[in-house]
Amino acid sequence: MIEQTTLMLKNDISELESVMSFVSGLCARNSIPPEMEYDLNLALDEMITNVIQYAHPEGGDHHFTLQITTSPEEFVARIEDDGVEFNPTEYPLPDLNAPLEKRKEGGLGIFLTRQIMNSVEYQRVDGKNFVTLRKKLN
Amino acid sequence: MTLSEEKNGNVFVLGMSGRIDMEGTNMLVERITKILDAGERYILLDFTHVAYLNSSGIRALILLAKRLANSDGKLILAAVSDPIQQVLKISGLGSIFSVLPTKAEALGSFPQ
Repeated sequence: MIEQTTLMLKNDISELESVMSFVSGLCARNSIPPEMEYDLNLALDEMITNVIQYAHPEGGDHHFTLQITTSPEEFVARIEDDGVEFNPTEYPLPDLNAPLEKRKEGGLGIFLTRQIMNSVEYQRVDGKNFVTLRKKLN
Repeated sequence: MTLSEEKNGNVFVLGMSGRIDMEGTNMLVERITKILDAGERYILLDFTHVAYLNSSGIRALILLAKRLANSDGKLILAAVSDPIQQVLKISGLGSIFSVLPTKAEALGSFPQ
C-alpha cells in the first residue's frame, strides 16, 4: 500500500514537533523499526530546520510543504519552499578527519542527512527549492 | 528536555532526559555555560534517558569538548544509545569523545 500525505508548515521551529509526531504515527502504521524511525526523523529535522532558519533571511511569515510518500519499499520526503536558492547536494562537506581543535561546526546536519538517506536530490524550478530525500525500507 | 545535576567528588554529573534537538540544545548550552563559568572542569554527561540527538546537539558537544580540552578538563559521555552512538560515529566523533557504557564506569575514569 502506498501512503501519501502533504503537510503545510510555517517557518517556525515549533513545526518540527508536528512533523516528528506524524513520522512516529507513520512508522507505527507501517511497522518501521525504531532505528529507521530515528534516521527518518533526523534527516527531516536537519533539512526542515535549514528551511526554517535560512530560506527567508528577510524574515516574516512563510509557508512551505512537506510531502511524504511511503510504500513497503521506500520512504520519500519532498520539501518545497520558495526561499533563497539553496542546494544541499553541493554544500561543502565538513572535514571529519580534522582534530577537535580544528573542527568547524557548520554543515554537519546536511552531511548527516546525506549519509543516512539513500539519496538526496535537488531541483530549482520557478523560484522554488525542491529537495527529495529517499530511504529504502527493506 | 529536563536536566538534573549532581556533584560526585570532583566530577559534575549532568543528567539529561528527553530530546537534544534545537530547543534541548539551547537549554543544555545555557546550563553548561554556567557550569563551566563556575569553574567545573570534569563533566559527565549522562545519556541514559536521551532519546534523540541532532546536529545542533553535536555542535554543542564539540564546543564543550574544545573548551574543556583548552582548560585541562575532561568530558565523558555515559550510557549513549545505539542510534545516537551511530550518529556520533557518522559525524566522525566516535573516537574523539570518550563514551562509556555506564555512569559508574564513567565516574571511575576521571582523575581523582
